[in-house]
Amino acid sequence: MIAEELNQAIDTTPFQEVEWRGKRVMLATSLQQLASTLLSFLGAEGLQIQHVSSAEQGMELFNPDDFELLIIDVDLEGDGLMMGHRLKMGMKEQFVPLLFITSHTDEISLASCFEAGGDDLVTIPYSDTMLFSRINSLLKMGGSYHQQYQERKELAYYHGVMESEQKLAKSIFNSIVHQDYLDQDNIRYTLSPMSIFNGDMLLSATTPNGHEYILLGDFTGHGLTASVGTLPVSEIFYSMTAKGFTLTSIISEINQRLKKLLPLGMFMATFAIDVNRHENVISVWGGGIPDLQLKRIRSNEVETISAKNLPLGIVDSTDLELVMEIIPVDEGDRFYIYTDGVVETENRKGEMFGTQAMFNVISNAGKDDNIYQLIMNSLEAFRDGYEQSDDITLLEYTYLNSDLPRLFEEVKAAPVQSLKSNWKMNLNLDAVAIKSYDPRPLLAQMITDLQGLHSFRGQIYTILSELFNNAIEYGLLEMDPSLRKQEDGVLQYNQNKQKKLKALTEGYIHIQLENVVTSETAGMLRIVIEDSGNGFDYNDFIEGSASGNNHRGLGLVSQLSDNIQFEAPGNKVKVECHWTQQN
Amino acid sequence: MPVSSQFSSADNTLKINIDGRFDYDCHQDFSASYKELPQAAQKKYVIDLTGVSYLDSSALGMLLVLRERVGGDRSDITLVGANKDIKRVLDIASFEKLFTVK
Repeated sequence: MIAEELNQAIDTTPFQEVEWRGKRVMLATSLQQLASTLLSFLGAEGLQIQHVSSAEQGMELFNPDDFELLIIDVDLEGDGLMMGHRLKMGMKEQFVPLLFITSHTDEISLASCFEAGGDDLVTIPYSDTMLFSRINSLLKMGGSYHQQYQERKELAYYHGVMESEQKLAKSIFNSIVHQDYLDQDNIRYTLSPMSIFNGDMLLSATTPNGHEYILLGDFTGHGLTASVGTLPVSEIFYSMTAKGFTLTSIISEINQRLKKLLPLGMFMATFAIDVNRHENVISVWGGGIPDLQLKRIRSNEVETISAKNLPLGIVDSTDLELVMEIIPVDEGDRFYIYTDGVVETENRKGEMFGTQAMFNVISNAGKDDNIYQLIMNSLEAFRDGYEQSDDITLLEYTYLNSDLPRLFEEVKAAPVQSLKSNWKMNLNLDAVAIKSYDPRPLLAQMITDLQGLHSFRGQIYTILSELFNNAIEYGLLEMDPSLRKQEDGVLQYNQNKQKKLKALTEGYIHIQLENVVTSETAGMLRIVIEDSGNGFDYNDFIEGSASGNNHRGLGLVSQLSDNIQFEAPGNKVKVECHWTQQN
Repeated sequence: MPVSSQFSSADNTLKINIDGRFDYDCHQDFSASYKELPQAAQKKYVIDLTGVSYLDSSALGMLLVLRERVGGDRSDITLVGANKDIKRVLDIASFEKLFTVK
């Protein structure tokens, strides 16, 4: 029953699902009779036929882009088999199906058609139905091959485009995210990306008053999606550090930006470290990232500092505990921070390297050992050739006190025309404002922008910063400066300061800034800061040497300025700085 | 089935069990496990991590998505059965600030 229906279908309406119309066919035969029969039969079906009567003519005319089918008579003048073979050999990646027509019916002759590269054959005499269905199947085959060929070509093209775009993007990312601050003798690090893009980032920059900030970030996931967040983070980090914002302000800003930017469920594990060489302390804030290990030079012991907060980008900054942990350090102390890819490094058995192993390597190392190299070696030995499955980033930082960072680094900014204007401003901060707002970066920014004094920014920031801190610490909070000189005093001092600041309910700080133009290219900046406190014994400062007394900050101010004056009872200070415009 | 869930109307709790590696591959199964039930029906969530051998940051992300979907700060999600390694990952991420970890 089924066979009958099938026969009927083939006999009456040949199965045709391929569009014949417009398909280009080269018909190669020397027989005029055969040529005209085929021309009229196939032409009636809408095929465009190019007839050639010799192999020579055919080979000259043929181009794989111009034909969808080749029909070659084996007995063609000049050898049909040879022509078919040559053309097929020349096609390389393209495919034009080849149908041989032959009057030879012995097995060897038929086999030679296929050996010459024929995809099918029809023997003479042929039936129209058989010829029709063979051409149909060859056109179908050729069509699907052609489609694949086009898709492959497109794919290769887009792959090439994508690769070059990725390379370009990577170089942009690199220049934004990795600046050369990390290339210092006391810093060793590895940032190994899984793919072109990296979800890990390591940033370092110096504030105008010489604090060094380091930020290690690890975004959820790998590759491009993980990299996207690195751009705003590095942007915020570098620009706010250069302006002298506190690290907690920077963390808060980055967190808020990431919360807005990142899709739900994506976040950045972070360690942020403020290296303060003036006071020999580092302040640390960690969220969702493996422990920091601190190798002490004196005791050779390891202290572990855990990240106590959520990663950034999950909750609002107001819900983050933005309190830095303060750790006094000695010259030669080394600390290690790393992303989870390091401790989650897997070996062939699926075991993880682990935090304990990390701790052991650092702990067992001697004072003079190259711990960074020991860690890298143990990771490699553990992995034993097994491929790394996550981004890994590791930083070793050796604390150096003798090598103070360049305080007043030249800030590369577009030259600004200096305003020949005399201006004056007053800023009055009450206790609430003092507790919650740090005016120093914005004031320094304003002065440098307004007067085009970018090369003085570090100087201006440092003066403002020291005077403002003094007003808070010695004026409002009545801190005891001698505490800082005692063993572990810095830590104690900072804890007291935070406690007292939290409890502060009354008081004010007045800041007055005044610019006086003295010539075409010079002027004088006057900074007056007054607080509501009881003052301090400034005679002690004036008589003592700048570095030997309790007020080292003021010593710095007096070195940086041209004139420093106190008013009784010591709650008001006036500083003058002369500036000249540089071209 | 690495992710399975069970709703108990008696204590109004949806319990989600995860087995094996809790990583990006569980993404669809995990979100399907709590999306099927009508939002109002459940008040509490218990994520059973007893069978979890590994948990990565994308799993932490999935937990955050669940938390946001079921009320954010008002959500009631308890993570139970975490082994030592899983507990460590949750600790590092300070997830005890967002979830009840038992």
